[in-house]
Amino acid sequence: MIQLFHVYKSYGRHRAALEDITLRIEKGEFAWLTGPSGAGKSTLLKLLFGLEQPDAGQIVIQNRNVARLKESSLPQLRRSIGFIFQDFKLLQKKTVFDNVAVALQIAGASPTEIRRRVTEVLGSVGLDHKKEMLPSMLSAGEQQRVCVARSIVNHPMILLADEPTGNLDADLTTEIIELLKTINTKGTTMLVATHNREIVSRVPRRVIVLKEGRIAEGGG
Amino acid sequence: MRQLRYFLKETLLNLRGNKSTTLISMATIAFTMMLFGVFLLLYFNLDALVGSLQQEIKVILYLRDGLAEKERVDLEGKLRQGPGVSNVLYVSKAMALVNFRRSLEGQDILLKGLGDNPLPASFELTLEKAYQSSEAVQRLAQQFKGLNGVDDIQYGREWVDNVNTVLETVRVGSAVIGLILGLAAVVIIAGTIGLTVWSRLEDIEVLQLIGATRAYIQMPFLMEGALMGLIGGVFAVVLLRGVFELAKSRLADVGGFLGGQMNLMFLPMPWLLLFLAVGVGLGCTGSLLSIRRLL
Repeated sequence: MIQLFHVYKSYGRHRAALEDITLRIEKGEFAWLTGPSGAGKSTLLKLLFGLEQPDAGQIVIQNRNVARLKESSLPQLRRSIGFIFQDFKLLQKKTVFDNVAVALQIAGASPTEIRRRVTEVLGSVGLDHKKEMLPSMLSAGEQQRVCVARSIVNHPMILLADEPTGNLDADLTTEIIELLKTINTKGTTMLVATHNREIVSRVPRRVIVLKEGRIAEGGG
Repeated sequence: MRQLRYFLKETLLNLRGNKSTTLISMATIAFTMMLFGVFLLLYFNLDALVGSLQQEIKVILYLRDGLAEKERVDLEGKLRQGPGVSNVLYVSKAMALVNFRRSLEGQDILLKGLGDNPLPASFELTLEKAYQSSEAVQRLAQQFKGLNGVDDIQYGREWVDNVNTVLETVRVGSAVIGLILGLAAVVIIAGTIGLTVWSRLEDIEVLQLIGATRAYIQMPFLMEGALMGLIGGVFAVVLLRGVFELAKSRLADVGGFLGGQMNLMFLPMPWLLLFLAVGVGLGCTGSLLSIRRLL
């Protein structure tokens, strides 16, 4: 499902962000990506999402070599992968409903389809009653749930999350992690980056540890 | 169609988001386009005037005094058979004098001392449409000059040439001023769209992250520019109509040749549509400049 072969990425001549990463994540797997700040977690996710290009190596996602994708093919890749951001990345002038709907609009869904699927997904994250509100009227946990709803509304096969609980308190963290587990049970492959060891220990799954840009544990 | 509805909604949101800048831009576009329209109107009316003057062009062939009747008839036959002549009217010496007296009616003093009829007989030739340009008239005149019995030739070419020169100046002036005003409009629109893009950079980043194509992101901004150009163009037409009505009433007050002869016309519908299309084109160009630079 997700395969990386000897991937290298550096910023400038002396700052290697990732070195010789070889990794395989199976279809439907839930994996944690951990390590201290600056270990390369975000860089790895950015490479998978096509936000950065590797200096060397190959990245294959659903039989597509992401490392060789043209810029014009990136939107298509991003529509097939859900991404949950630490800072939510919501459209502040749009309602909760529109924030989720926009992902479907971009994919060319019909208004009827959009209405049906947005209502359904907002129900699944418990925000159906707040669909007319603006993001600024929501709590951080609710905003993150909107972000989760937007990332799964297109039924992506893969969901990437970069510190999804980084801005949340303990209760809200639990709430979001439970939501991610539920999404995974429906068959979505998940790779969740976090530096929070506590939540990793609470949800025992495969743990990939990065240290100074290299895989220290859990590779393969 | 679905996408179009979304793009329109976004475009209107953008316009509403920067209300004051948008209004100022549209007013400036309307004013610059109106100025261009004034030149267009001037050109259109002068062109029509030249057209009507050319239709009235008559070539007058003055005949040598003492021309025998047979020679006159031969000459008339040749003129009728020649190319470009649609009608030949013979004006005898006596008829020329009658016409002359009629034209000076009430100013008999001028006619005293005229003595014997000094006016020559003549042929007044009306030309076919294809032969009404000043070049064609000149060519025909050269041919007629060599005919037996023709003493002199007169035609209103100088008049038409003068108006043509004015027309050419207005044409070049319109093009230059149109270009300058067009560039100004493009820069204004580019600036306004640039402000909108800046104010929405965060949203644009989000859209890119969730898989929006470049065209999807750019389209509302392109439509915003087009709409600004179109609305500016419509306002320009309204202003232009006002200027036109004012000019028309002033000309009627002036009277004389300009007031009487020059029947001012407003731009016809195809020209107006073209004018609005130019507005839309300017808007799109301004938008493209801005979004290509920023996105």
